[in-house]
Amino acid sequence: MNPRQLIHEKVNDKQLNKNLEYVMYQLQGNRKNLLAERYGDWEALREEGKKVKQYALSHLPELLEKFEKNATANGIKVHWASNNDEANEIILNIAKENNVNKILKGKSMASEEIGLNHYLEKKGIKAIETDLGEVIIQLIGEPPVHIVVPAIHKNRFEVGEIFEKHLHVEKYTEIEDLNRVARTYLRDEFHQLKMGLSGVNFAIADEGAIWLLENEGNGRMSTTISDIHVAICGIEKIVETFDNAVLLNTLLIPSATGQSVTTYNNIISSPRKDGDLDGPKEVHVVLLDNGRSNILSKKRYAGSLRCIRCGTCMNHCPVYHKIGGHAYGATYPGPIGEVISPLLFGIDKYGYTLNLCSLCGNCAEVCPVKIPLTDMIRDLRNEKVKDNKDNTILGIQNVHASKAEKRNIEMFTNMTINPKKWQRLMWFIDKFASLGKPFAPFINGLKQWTSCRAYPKMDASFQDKIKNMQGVKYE
Amino acid sequence: MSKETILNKVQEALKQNPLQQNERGVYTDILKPIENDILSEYKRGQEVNKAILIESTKDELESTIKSILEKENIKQVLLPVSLENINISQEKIIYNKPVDELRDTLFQVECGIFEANYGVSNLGIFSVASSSDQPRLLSLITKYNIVLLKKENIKENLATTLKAYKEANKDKLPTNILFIAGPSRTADIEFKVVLGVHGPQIVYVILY
Repeated sequence: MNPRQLIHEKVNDKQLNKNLEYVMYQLQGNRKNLLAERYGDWEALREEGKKVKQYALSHLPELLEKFEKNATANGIKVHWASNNDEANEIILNIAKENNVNKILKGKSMASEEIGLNHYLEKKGIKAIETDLGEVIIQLIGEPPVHIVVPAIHKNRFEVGEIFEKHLHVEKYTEIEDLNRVARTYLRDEFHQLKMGLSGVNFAIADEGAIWLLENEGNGRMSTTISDIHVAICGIEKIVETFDNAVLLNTLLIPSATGQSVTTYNNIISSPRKDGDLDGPKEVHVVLLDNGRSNILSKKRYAGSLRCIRCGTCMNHCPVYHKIGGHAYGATYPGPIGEVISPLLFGIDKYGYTLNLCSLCGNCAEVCPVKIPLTDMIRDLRNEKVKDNKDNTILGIQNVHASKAEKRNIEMFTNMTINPKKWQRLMWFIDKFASLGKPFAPFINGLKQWTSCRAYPKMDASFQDKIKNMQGVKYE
Repeated sequence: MSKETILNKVQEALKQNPLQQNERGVYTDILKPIENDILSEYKRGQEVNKAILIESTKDELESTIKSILEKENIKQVLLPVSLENINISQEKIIYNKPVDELRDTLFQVECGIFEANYGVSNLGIFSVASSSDQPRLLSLITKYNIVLLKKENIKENLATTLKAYKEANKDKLPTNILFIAGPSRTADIEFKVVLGVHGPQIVYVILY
């Protein structure tokens, strides 16, 4: 399905629209009320959060090495992966060395990014999701629709049907029952668990520790009861100190869900040590670049690496509200996805997502680390069409403005800077635009516009009105 | 090899785009307390986080635990070695062997009791660190948790609590530090909160 068809399908999916609308407004409202009632100078804290991430990015080489040194001293094995192939291979080798043919996963967007489940499956290893939302979508073979609430497009009745079909249980419709089904299904899996996988929210260089956030306890199960725990960590997740992580945590949770704190904050600094009775015997951290260093080299876009994956830009995006995450066709949807997907995976593959934006600016206003998402989206649109291209953007060589688009823009520019031509155009529109309606489906530009919208009412009488205004000298 | 490649690329990136951010961000606790002191604020927050809070004294601790066990009709209790001598009539399972030898039992037992290291006032949560006496699964694998928390161990926020851990451990960190708000929960279906997913469903905190 091409992007246009996919978006068209999602816009017309009534159930999706209904589910999304309900949840997105809830998430927005929860955040707004919580900040108003309980938080002091949120704006000042955003500024400090931005500094924390900018500082970490400015000093990334030292902090990465410091993290490795301290984590290694704590007994954690640190791996480095330049791209998804390397990351997948590292994880596969850890599994093979330990004769593991099944791993359980806590929530990790980085694992989605590298296509880990699919890769492992091809190698004969089953990767089972354990976050309730991820369980639901894995059963039906869908990617997450949202980075924090991955199955939010399905309501209880749909989930009941999914569990009935794939987990062979009675068809339940109460959320408590559905939760119980998932708990029982996974409890058996946890019992057998040898190797667990997680993402990382913050990697603390000074301590050599990783910090994970979650509500369900599946992440703790995956990282506690297993013999081996592997954490995938984008290199931009590094911060210097515990205080830095506390600051970002304070910004992240209200932004994500409108809570002050998640049920579990899980700080892992070491595998099971002498005397410990549980915890994994091995902890591995895979530091993943996969295009992040390339983003870092770009003045206009390096700020996108500040992202702490709270998802609030999605929650506040009017376009995301109408189409949901799947329509973006990429691992990272919404405004942040529009910026990082083209930069990480190629502007030729994901450049179209840049059009899924009205430049309203909501996202940049709510971003807890002040990423100017709207500016970045506009700049990336410009990258796609400008003559003097930045050749370091992945896939830029394959992206060109169409000749017709260029010609139309040139024509438009020409008219806007020439008053006589502009007046003639307005006169023409005023007299003849309404006659164009029957021809709209055949005129490029109007064809796409009218395929899903009414023919616009074009009123260009403004010029005439101005001309006749008292005191106006009309040239 | 990838390490050098990545570090080189990052260094090269910073040459092309020198961010030069040398000012560090500073954490300030901006949560506005509703109560007047850190103990009352902790209690309020812990209840908001859906733990059942009971105040007791050191002398009455055992009877408070007993009354909870009876009320919830709990038959089996998982205990760390430090609490093995607690006087209760329920079957006691002492967590004194590695998880590998206790796995089947651990998945069956109903209630885990343990002592929290700290409470965190501004968020209304408690914290527990792993050790030979305080295995990680005690706070995760059972349906019920009874958590004992000394009033004097309540700290202001996450930052001061982490500092306290470091001071208490002479700058060495416990292998695993957990901050726990209460029962495990999810809102993944229709954004409705349900308690008790993979961790405990009912959490009592006894403050003494």
